[in-house]
Amino acid sequence: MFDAVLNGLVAVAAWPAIGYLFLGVLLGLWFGAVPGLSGLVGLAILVPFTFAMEPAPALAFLLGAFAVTTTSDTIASVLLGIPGTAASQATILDGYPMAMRGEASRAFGAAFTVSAIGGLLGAAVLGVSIPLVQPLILSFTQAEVFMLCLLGLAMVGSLSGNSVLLGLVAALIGLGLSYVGYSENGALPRYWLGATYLLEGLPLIPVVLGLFALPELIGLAARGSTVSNVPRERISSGIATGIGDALRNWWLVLRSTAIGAYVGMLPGLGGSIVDWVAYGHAVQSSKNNENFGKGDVRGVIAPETANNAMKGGALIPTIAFGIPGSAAMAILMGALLIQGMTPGPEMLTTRLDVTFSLVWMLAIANVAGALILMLLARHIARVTFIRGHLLVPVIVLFVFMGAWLANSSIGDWAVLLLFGILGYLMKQGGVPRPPLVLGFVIGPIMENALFITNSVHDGLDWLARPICLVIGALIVGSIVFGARRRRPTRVQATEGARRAHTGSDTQRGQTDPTTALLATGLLLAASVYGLAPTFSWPADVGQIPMLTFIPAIVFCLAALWHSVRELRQARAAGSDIFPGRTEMGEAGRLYLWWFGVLAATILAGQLIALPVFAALYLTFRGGYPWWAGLLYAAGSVSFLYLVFDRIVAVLWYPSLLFH
Amino acid sequence: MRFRHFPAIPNAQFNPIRFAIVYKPRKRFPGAALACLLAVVIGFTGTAQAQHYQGKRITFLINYTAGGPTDIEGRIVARHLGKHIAGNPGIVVKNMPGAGGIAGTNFMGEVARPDGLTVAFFGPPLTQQLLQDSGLRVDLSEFVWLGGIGLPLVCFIRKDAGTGIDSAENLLELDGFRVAGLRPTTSLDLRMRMALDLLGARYRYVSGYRGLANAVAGIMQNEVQFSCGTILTFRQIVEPNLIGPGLAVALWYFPATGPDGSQMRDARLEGIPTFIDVHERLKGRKPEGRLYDAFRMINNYAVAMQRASFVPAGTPDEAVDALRSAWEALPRDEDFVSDYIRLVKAPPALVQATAVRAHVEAMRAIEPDTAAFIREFVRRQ
Repeated sequence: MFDAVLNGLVAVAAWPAIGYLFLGVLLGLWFGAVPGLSGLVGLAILVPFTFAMEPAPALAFLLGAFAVTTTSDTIASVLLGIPGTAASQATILDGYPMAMRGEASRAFGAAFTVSAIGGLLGAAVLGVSIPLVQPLILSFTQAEVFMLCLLGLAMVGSLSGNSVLLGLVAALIGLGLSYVGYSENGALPRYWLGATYLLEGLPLIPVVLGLFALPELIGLAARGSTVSNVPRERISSGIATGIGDALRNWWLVLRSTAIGAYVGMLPGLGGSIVDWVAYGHAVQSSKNNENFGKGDVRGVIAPETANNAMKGGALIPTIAFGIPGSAAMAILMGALLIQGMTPGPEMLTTRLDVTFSLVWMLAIANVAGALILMLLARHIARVTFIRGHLLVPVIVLFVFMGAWLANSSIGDWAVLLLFGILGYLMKQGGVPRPPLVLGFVIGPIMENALFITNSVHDGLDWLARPICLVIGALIVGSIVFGARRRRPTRVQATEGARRAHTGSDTQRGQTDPTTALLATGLLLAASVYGLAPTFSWPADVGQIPMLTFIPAIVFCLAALWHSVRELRQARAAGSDIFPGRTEMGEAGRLYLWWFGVLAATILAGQLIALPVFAALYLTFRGGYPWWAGLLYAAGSVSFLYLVFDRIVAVLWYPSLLFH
Repeated sequence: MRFRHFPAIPNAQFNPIRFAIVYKPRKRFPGAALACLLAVVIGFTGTAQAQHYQGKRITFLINYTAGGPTDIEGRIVARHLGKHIAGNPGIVVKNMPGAGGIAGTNFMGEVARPDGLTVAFFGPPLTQQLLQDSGLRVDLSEFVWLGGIGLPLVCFIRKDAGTGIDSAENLLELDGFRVAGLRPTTSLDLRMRMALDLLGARYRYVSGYRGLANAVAGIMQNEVQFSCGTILTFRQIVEPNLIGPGLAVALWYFPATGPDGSQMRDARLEGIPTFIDVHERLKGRKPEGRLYDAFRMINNYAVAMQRASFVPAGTPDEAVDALRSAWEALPRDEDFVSDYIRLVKAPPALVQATAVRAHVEAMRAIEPDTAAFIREFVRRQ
């Protein structure tokens, strides 16, 4: 085996493979940093270039790019509260509040350090675990996957801040939203409103961008000030502080690495939830966890370690069994096949050197990517000190185009804007958003696993499978442990300190009781709408939604009652029952701008609509001179054309004027 | 239907420029005049085709996600097709997944401009059209078809299923083995179930696996024991993980059949019996009856055009001609064939426009009774 390790390293270190690896790293950093582009789009773009290459440089090029997207995705998550890729959603929770405190550099220092360590250790864990890989993967049937999903949902408590009730509501609604489209056994579409767009379900990226990015954009536009609330000259922490944080929390880094590497190994599950699992674990296992969600650096360290450590784990089922755990892995498998390598068990035996060369590529790329970003971090962090109005148009461009890449349909923007409204109401009303995303991501995997498990087994005998029992014990332990940790918080809660726990939600402290009422009312209406048709559906299609929406309605009613009570208390105390009305007015105005972008796109396409928005917003809302607006618009057009038209080859909206 | 196998027939296409240089006129005027006229007409058509795509970029649309089997094949075709299109346009690949391939199909019928610059390379949702899927808003026969790739389906089973199995002969002795499917409405699931029903096998159908790779994982875990996959996935995933290590055995493949019921054996699957052979051995007769008619109809179009390429109705003739010529040139393109063989470990079975069109028409002309029978079969899962 040692020979295989060395031979693998020699294959990577040889020219030109190492050169292509670094080229891949640079491109991967770019794809990860631009929200919406992601590793998936990056790999799809880069694969055709590798057709004519030799196997080692081709794979080095692709793995270099693939490895570091989860390193650079931290940039948008921390600076703007927008997930750079789907794997960095959990980073927002504490990364963005840190940026708002002026500690973006510190967050970067910690995140890039643990990304490198996570990537490196993840690869090492993988190397050591290769003899265990086959039995581990083969013992995880759909029954075990279902139990793992339940364990993921048990994290809701950790992601719900001080209101487990609202966390449960959000998680159930997330599950409910995941049922849109064809049911897992396929014959009947659910909640599709007659729109073909919805037949395959709601797309993740527009949903997440809507829930997280648009509310932050509204906040930024309303404030008009910088992302950082603290002036630059008063910031004492920097990159070195972040590196120190990472090293001080070495035990958390090690545990998050293990979570990333092993959960990442499970096909179809790992990559999508690993950051949430690591974050939840960090909250659950920390003695003093009251700062999570308010800019605790451990909330950045855990997911950023895990999402890089996961890459090596995800590689194993792809190369060892030809089972790609994600779309990006499927592309990589295609590239392997085109290079004449057939995935199979011999990749763990006779062709172990090839496997190790891939592991080395990941490890070297992770370290290189982190070092490059570390050098740039100080400059990148300056974005948080740029005036908000100058940032809004470029973020709108990234967010709208990122959403557009999901299906290249106007439906992507409709989903983005609708979930923006929901996200804003949830944020202002103190309803935590992370459990909703967790439910949404886990929902289809869980339903699918349960459906197959029920078809395979008679009754519930599968619950007695050894791994199911172990996971079951972990679920119980997680809930009990979470409840015990929560006890002191409950006391605080009765003192009227119910605060949201979703990143910047917590920045405002007290939530708005009127918006809370609106948000819970909306979620109740959605639950009733979700439940209604399930009675007429066949059992295998309607049972799971029914089991989701009935408790959702019960919890919504309880939350609604709680909101009404809070509203009455606030009125009795003579305090403002609708403090968020000013910002909501701003939100309304911004939405008018965005509807304008939508209308202009239908009329003239994105290449005109988005730059025109930039120019008009900057001139009329930002108060900049008209020539600045024009310059900004020209920059936007160039960027859209070069990146999205020439490189990504996006399918633009077929506008009325220029179709 | 005719499959074109590698090695390819040498290029016998008429070259007007070469003709103009090397042709020596004879005194017999009508022959010379006709030849000149032909050269002018062909030359003009070639110029028109070249002008149409000169300096343009074609978007090659794939209706499944990046990295999937359709995508992998599509990217290989896209890589080689451009050089055979007069005018040498650039080709960029885009994925438009959704609703089992329906989202992209609706896009091609409703949104894509008929200018020859958006070309579909799809796993066409023919079964969804047959089952009158409410999401499919366009009629597939309206498209202008360019060509396709045929992929036969191979079925396999774990050797330790039931009391043990090493060939199709003892399949009927097994009781209650589990069959991994994707969705009840896919042509793969329909053919798999129909074939097992025709044999009278006792099995339990488990649908919901997201792609054949996951079904293979299920078989490796002994969660399920039987499934089927196209030759592409069979070679890429099934052989190295199941057949090679001796965990499973290939039972049969489904060949396309002619109007007289004759089998079109696939040379790439030599050594694996056809389903009809197996049926004859186990039941003493060839399959027949309504169930078999429905199976045959679905199987024929699924085998012949597992992937198919088309452009929207109304696309200019010069674009269609250029694309069809390029598609016809592909079997003779050694680079394409060697890339394909590297991927599939077998040469491509390319189907040309006329054959593809015939399958779409046949599917459209299906008897209402048969269509209703298939819909009922889906519901009876």
